[in-house]
Amino acid sequence: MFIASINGPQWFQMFDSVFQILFALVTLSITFFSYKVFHFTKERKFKYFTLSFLLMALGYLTVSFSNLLIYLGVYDGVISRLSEFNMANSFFLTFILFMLVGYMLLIIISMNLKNKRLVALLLSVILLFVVFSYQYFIKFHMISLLLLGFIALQFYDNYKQKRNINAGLVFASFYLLAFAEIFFLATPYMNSTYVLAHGLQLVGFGLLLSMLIKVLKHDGKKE
Amino acid sequence: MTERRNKLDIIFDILNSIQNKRGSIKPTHLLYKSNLSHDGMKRYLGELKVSEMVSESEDAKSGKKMIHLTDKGYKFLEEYSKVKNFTESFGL
Repeated sequence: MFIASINGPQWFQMFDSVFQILFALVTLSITFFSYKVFHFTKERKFKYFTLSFLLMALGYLTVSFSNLLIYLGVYDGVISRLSEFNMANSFFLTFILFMLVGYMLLIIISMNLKNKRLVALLLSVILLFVVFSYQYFIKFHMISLLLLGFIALQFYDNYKQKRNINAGLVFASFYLLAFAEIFFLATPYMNSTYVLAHGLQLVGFGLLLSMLIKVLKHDGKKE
Repeated sequence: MTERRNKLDIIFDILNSIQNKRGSIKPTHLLYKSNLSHDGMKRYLGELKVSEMVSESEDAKSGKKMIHLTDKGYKFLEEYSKVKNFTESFGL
């Protein structure tokens, strides 16, 4: 099966979809609270911040849905293997687009990039490099590693400045998400790293969720 | 150099000053605590009264005015703290 070759060991199939649904739920929670922040402050940057997490949530829902269709054998006997391949490819491309635009928006907002032409250039170069090329999987995870790495660096600077537990959780979360990309890149050579990558993502999103819970419980005390 | 306060920060400072005085404060104390000009405070207090976050009363004997924090004001302070915690976590 096409997806099985890049989706880690056989026993992990289905688990990855469940993990992705959990990631979607966490990013959706951030989306809802961030929208509330936008509603409260009326500041445009929070609109884009909301959109960034919404795109990530849609990305995870898309890839999870695509994998579930294959794992549950929905396509079996209905469409040809070639159509199944094309369908899975289309879903994966949609997932890539959602995630990369989401990460880019997060970079733009967290780094406070104002130059619209620079933003358009960055976005175009990244999307052209990934989408109009072969080896989507490898290139997507390479670019994700770079983008998430820079986002983590930005959040580290914020943590150093604020010395706040919640800022530390956000930094640790994105650091783990970036680190997970290295394991995804190793998947074609050793498919058990796919499981490790998901494990790291699960911890990363868990930290992000704990930050949100602390904020909602109004518990952002200084260290 | 300290960062310039935006409108929400100023509203928070005003309401927080009232809260720190157990929910009621004299206008002169508020002017000093909120670090605003007289005109600025008058404008903000006007807006806060319209949005029912503060109310004003006058002492029958002394005739002195007092500014009070309403339930809506307390609610704003709670929401503001959550929003501030969230935005600071991401450095926004």
